[in-house]
Amino acid sequence: MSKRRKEPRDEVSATELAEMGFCEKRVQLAHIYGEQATSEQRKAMARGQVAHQRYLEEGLAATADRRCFVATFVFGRDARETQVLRAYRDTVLVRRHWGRVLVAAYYRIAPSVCRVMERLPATVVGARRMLCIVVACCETALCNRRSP
Amino acid sequence: MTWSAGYALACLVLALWLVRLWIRRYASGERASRPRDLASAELVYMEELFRIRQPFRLIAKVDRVYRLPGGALVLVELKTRAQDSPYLTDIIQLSAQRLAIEGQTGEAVERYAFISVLRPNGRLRSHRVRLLDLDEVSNLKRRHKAILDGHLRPSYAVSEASCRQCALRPRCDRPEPR
Repeated sequence: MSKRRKEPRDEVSATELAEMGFCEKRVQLAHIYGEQATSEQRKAMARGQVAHQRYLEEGLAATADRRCFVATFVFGRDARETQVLRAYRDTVLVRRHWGRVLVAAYYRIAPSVCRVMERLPATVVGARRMLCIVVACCETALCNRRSP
Repeated sequence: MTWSAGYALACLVLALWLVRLWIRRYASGERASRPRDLASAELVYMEELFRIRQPFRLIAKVDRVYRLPGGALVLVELKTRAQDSPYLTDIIQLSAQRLAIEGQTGEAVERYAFISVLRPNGRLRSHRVRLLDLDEVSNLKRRHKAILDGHLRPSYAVSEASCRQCALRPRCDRPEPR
């Protein structure tokens, strides 16, 4: 397997520079003959890619991302109710251990809940009513936190 | 009665064990994988590409960058390998990333970084490393260019054992170990 460089001339990547710390001769040979890897190295690279993908997904799930599956499905992506729930997640839930567990568990089951609601539109009305109560509670909690 | 109590206790223990397993599984994630020193830091960049033209043309993709409460950025690089220790290659890579981020964003990046080593058994451990400064990275870049241009004789890997796993070994002129 060989891979030719596509970057502009003289541009070097951090990874290429890093190779200098392992074997300079290898850097020279890879430049002349192209990057090559053994089957073990290819397998290791594939494992690394999978690990990096999981690492990225963990990071995305942890940051103040815009996921709020059920609320988005019921109210819409930028609806006030969805924003309130996101704010409650970011300011209250993710700062507590039990809250993070709850958020992680929610992210796990929410897509399935959305699929059920997609199949049974009648459930959306019930979910909307229930979520309105939750949103009101979250709003009150957030207001209490802001007020001195 | 004793048997019933025994069953109830066994069920309770099993239930508690399952709950613990569930909590551990779902409480894992970004929080669990970040180095302890960054517990209060904010994750600001993931898999982001940075590019600079000065002092030389450099491109670097970072795994994760955290912002400390004081505002400075800290780099974290994930590595999957059996050996649970940082390598010189990791330090060079992170040093180049630091240069690229500082150059592109103008933000201060800490002189230290973390290498999180994920071992085949699934255990992740973070190692704090000190990064190279601008002069050291620039010298390395100059050396890199000189080697590619054929103006400098390259050195070989420190460990001859690593040559055995090198796909370019048949093309290499390093003498075989006796």
